Amino acid sequence: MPSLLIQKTAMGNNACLIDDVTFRYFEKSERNILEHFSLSIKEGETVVILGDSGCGKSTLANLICGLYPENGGFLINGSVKVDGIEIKNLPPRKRREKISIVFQNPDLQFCMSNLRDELRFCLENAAVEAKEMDRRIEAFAAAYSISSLLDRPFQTLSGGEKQKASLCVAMIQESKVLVLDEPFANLDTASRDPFLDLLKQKRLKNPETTIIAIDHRAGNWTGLSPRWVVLGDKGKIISDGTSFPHLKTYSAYFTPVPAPTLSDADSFLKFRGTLIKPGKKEKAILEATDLSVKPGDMIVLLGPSGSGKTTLFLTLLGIKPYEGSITIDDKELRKQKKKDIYRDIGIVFQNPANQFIASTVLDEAKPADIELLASFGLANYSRYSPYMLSQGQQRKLGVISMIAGKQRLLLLDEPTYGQDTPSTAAIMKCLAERTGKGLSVIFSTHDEELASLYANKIWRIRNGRIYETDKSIG
Amino acid sequence: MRQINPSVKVIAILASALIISFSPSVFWNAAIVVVCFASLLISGCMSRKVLNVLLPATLASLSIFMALLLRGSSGKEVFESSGNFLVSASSASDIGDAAAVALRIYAYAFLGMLFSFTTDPQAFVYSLMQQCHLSAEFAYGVLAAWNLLPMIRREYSQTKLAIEVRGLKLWPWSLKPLSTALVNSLHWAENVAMAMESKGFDGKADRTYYLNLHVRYQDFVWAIFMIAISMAWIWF
Repeated sequence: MPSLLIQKTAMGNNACLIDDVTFRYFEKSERNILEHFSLSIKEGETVVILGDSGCGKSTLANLICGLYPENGGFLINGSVKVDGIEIKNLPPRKRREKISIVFQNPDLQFCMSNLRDELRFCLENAAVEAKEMDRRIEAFAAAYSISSLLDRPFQTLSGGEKQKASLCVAMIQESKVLVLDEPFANLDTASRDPFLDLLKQKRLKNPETTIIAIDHRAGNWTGLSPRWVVLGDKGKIISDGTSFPHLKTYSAYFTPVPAPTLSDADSFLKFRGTLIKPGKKEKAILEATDLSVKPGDMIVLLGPSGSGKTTLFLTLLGIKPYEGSITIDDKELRKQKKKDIYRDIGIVFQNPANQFIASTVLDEAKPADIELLASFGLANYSRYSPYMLSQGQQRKLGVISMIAGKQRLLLLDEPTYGQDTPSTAAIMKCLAERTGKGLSVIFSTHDEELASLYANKIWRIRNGRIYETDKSIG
Repeated sequence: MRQINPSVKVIAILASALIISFSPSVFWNAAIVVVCFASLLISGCMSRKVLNVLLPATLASLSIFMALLLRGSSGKEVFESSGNFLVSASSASDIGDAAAVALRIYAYAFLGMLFSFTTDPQAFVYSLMQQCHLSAEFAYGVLAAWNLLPMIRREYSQTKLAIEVRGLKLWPWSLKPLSTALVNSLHWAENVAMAMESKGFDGKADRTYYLNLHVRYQDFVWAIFMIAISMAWIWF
């Protein structure tokens, strides 16, 4: 259905014309993020721009929206025109009429405390009369049946709901072009669908709206039958067309590591009748009756967002209270000093920038050496500050510094967050090599493919219980 | 109380607080406390929050009361008298002074609560823009930061944990997690600012407001009433 609509309007004008753009972050740097990049997008088209992290996708999104170069970087050459007008010459208020955007991080898009206020904020920016605002918001909410979202505080929304709210904010502006910059970076499949449904409704109601989505996974967008543009290094267009692009999957990057020989050794970490609680006075949210971790185990923790994956990790680090028993080498966890726990267990959080303690990448990785950095493609950055790395690179560095700590068990919270396939594969491969030597890993994810490829055990969270499932059942 | 224009409210309350800092009158300081208490009661703001503020305020005012009582304005060391007669030895005027100062601390606490418990932060920012001509960029920046606070708090505790797991000992005065939080916050601020800009916000252009706040005569009546009570000690 949507493809029909595209064809009908595809003869229209150029909605977005990017002509010979060269862009870099530092004026004197040699490194261009985009180099002689050109692309034209017709009115009413749905375009999905794919590429690995670091290829300039997000930069491109910010350029199209006119946020760059105003907020960072240098446009060395070329022009970006939206609806026939050079976007960087427009003030924000005029730009909004042409183009609006949904960003990657659901926590950093709102300046008000709930969706209704945020929508009002947008309408205020557009200088809509106060009386008219409520009428428009109600009409919008009714048309897209999102009334239940309007008054809930953002803090209480799940990541998926926040992204949906963000799409509403972008839609109420009735701009000609809608840009979506990796809106599913940290969403599971279930929370992705309401967002896509909303987008399809928009597509049906306003066939003239141009939709530009940016992602590193094609699978998210097949339902919209878009035009696919695949970018390579520095924004070089590798392919452009309507047939589904065959991108490499994890398995293409993964050479199986021989099964760990140590895994029949005795379990060192055991859960026995454990009840995990988010706080001392709160009710238990997770039950683990009988689980154990052996040296060399690569365990994946699967469960919907909000089911308590992070809470489980915090419990293992001695931060959250529990009932029943968790033992490391037959010693009860709650009786151990934190310092001793941290000698055994390390963690890499979703936001790796939280854990950096040194001022250069090399110091951060110590006592790991430059060779380990090189195997992660970070050797050239050894003298950079860790904060200057991209998020994907930061996570690699987080893993390196944790491996260097020589703990026995490593916890990884959503290692795929904001990561493209090759980076994830590099991290997982390195971990798999370590588990061959006796390191144990527990990682949380909602990526089933990743789980089935790398893990030797699957822990599933369902209805407040964690249990081990057979890998083959999945 | 919730109906009073927030800008008028803040100005009247600040003025009151300034004036009573000179007031030596037990009666009129007590009157402020009573008026504020009654206003909070009428606005339905009596809750645990009030107790949470009053507890430290009581401690502070009691300790000041005792300190002034024992070493009163006469400047004489009352410890010279024997312990049992400690209190009776202090003159009546000392008790009055001490009570006035102690009540003043209470009055400050109540004035503060009167403002913060009866004012919606968003309405306050709107009012600052409309009545006090605060720039929209600054005002919405403050609102955005306010709404980011829970996230900053969450990330800060995670930072501390992450650093401890790395095997570094953290003291309450360690600066390391703070500097990390600062770098993160700068990064977020940039993101949020870009998000606001993408929604057409530029701080300069004319914009409409959903909430249009005006100063009405009731606001003036209330402000004059508050200031009059705080100044009453001068005349009576």
